[in-house]
Amino acid sequence: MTTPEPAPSGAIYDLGYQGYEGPRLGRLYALWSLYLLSLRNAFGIGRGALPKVLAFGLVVFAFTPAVVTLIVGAVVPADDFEIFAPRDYYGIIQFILVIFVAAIASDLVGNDRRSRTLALYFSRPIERDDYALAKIAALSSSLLALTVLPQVVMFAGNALGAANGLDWMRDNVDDVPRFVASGLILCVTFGAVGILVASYAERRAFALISVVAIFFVSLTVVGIIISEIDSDQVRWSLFLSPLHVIDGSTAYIFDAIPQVDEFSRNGEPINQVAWADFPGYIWPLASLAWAALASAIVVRRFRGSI
Amino acid sequence: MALIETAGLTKRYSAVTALDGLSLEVEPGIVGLVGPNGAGKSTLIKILLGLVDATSGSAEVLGLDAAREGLRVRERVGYMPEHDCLPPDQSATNFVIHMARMSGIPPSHARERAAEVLRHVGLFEERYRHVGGYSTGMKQRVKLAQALVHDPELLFLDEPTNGLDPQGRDEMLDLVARTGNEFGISIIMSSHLLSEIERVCEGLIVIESGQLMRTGRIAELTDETAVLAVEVEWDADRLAALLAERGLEVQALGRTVEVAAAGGADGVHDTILDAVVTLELPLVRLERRRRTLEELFQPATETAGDDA
Repeated sequence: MTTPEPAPSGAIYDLGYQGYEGPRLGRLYALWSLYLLSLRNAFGIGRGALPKVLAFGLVVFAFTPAVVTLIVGAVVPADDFEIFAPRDYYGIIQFILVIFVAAIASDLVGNDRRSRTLALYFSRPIERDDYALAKIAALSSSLLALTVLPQVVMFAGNALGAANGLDWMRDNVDDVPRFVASGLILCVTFGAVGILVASYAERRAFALISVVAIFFVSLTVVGIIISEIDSDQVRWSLFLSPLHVIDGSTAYIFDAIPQVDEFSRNGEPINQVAWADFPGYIWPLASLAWAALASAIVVRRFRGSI
Repeated sequence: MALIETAGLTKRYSAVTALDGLSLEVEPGIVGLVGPNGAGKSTLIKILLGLVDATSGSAEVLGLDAAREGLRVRERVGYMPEHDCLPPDQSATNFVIHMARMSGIPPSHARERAAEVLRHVGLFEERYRHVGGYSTGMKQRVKLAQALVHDPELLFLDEPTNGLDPQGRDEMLDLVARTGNEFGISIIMSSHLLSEIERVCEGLIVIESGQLMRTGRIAELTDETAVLAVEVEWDADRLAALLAERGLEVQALGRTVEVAAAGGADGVHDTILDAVVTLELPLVRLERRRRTLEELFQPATETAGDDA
């Protein structure tokens, strides 16, 4: 039998400092790491209980229309029965999306600024523009969980619940590219605008209120301008309200911009969009313009810091 | 190859000139960067990291142009800022791993490296706790760890002993010295305390109002200003007068006469002994003295005070 050599008792092995000879993966990998960490942070992973509850609570709310549709569909055996249609989905959960953006955006950019960790990021092999864009990408993609994902679940559920699933899918397959495209446009717009506001609002509470305000105050004010000021020129003001623009974009993509009647000006935002009578493709473009402009300002903001 | 080389480096903000035609060459080793607040130390470090563009002039770090190749410079250097910079709601381990990844280290290596550097800075079990609950000393250690985690060739430490008590200060200085001497990592350490610089640094850069006041090896600097102190029982004044007559730079301080002895002191020695014998004075002591850095820069700091 061999006995292992006894270690000299009391000896402390100082292995000395080991240099690092392994691979260095560079800028894109660093950015990917930053994006992943931000995405995890958005859902409170690796952080306390409260951020998790908040984020996942809002995700559950965003799924509610899909779940309700599926449950009712299972109980009421009618094939052409839709409670919530894909084209209306994003409009219904709009409020939840704004709250999510308001709650998360400040965490994503405000925390690094408040704890002054930005200095450490900027002294690493990435550029400041990279940092800004990674944050926007993280917020935008976290929104996919509240928008495109419930649509996918609803679509799959409806197909499974239909008397003839294949027929149902054939009839409704057009909806898939539509909810994906309109969802993506919505996510980048919300993401960029949210990070924009949060990168200027130092305090968390202020960032939260500002995000809610920029979406809903503009929605309300522009809504009143359209309905109360008797001039055709006021239709241009619609571009100042991101929620009007996003509604228009989704409706255009679903080919669902409503007919104009005498009540349109005083109606829902989407009716006001219809009343303005711009060519429909202008709305997705305007939405992307909001995203691009907001991103550009965010990039400038981070270039100026430190 | 010089570690850092700048030529005519100037940085003007709208109203202030932070750096004013700074030209210097820094050799590898542990180098102290000294100057009063607002001297331009932080601006210099930011330009060297490629974070701030100079108004004019050039800066090279590790042979790379800091302005054009900032990204490649930042791959190879580490930076520990003066101010707080740690997220309170993360553990030291997770944070340092993340910072390793931000420097391009793959995930599995990043975990190993984080464990290694946290051990080196003396954080063990507590590294799994949130940084928010750490003492200032522990936070400083984490700040050093994140600067070291990607095994840089050069470290910028901005006032690493800031906010530490005397014991913490000693420990941090030991850590800095070990990092430089044992790991072979060059270090630029800024401090406003000359005694700290003297303790761990080999080289020295002194800047004031954005201009280079002095640079070189500390041993040489103190050598240059060495003096021979001659203590006699009486008549120090007469001795001083005689030595001055023989062309030496002297200063009488009570019973002691200080004689400038830059470079070789042999000739000076003989002259002094000769003078003492001539005057028939009882010699108490003849010794060679190095001035401390503190004494060396007394005049410079006073002038700065007058300007303000």
